[in-house]
Amino acid sequence: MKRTALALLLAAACSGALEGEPATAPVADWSFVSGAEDVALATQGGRRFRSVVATPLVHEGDLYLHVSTLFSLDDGALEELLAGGGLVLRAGGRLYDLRAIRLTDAREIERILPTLVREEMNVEASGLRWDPQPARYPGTQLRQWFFRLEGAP
Amino acid sequence: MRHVARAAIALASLVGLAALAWFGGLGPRAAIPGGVLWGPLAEPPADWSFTDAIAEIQVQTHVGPLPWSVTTWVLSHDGDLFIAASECDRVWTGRVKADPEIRLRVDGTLYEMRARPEADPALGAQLAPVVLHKYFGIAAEAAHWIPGATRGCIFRVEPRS
Repeated sequence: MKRTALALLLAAACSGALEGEPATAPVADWSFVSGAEDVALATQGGRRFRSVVATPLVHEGDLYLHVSTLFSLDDGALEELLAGGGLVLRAGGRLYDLRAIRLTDAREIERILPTLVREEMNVEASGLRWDPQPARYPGTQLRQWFFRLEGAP
Repeated sequence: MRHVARAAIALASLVGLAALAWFGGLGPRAAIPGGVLWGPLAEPPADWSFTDAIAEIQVQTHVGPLPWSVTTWVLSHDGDLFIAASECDRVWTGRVKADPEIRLRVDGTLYEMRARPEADPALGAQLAPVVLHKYFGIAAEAAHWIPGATRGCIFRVEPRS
């Protein structure tokens, strides 16, 4: 999935709507996204993520999105997403219309943490717990958002 | 001829301003590298755990004719100090390997230090949970970097003498 993150960063340098063949069948298992070489994301208005890192993750066949940033720069695509906008995912040459459900519940976030740290950070870890404001490290965390992505109806 | 002279003066002015900024204390901004770090110099403390509350510090490398400073993550473990790069092929990491004498700016204060790369997996297993917790808000009972997968690197930072 590291290649996926790289692909997303490269895609951020481009602009405009994603090119590909619209997918027609619903997807029950998103595992194929992990191995796809052409993964890219855009909002349904064609905006790309520019000042944030947006990494799609597949956990137990479900699709998630982790967005993080060190900087306090605005990102139009993220704003659209947080306002309830949908996404278009390209993988394997096909385009998938998605809706994004923001995760705020710690148990939901903790469910994907093993995959997140392995795929995005190259870390193997156990006993993971979501602790966004640790007392020992006050205010040092990246700004982060988690979403579950589902096929748009 | 007059246009050429004006262009030359403008170019010289730009170069002069750039040099003034670079050597006069234009530090790094976010992901953009900078030049000389300025500020009050202090003796390195014995315990760096106060940096647990500091997300980023500036590091100035010394190799080459131009100073090169960057903003990077800072980790403390058992009072020792470490700096980290998510990718080890950066300009500054190569410079630190070539010349370990660095200058740190932590919360506005300068420290003259020496850095050396750390590749001990046992130390990695101690620092990986620090990275997860400090920067991602993920507490881990145990964590280690997957061998061969990470492109990052860590330097231990110590006083020069």
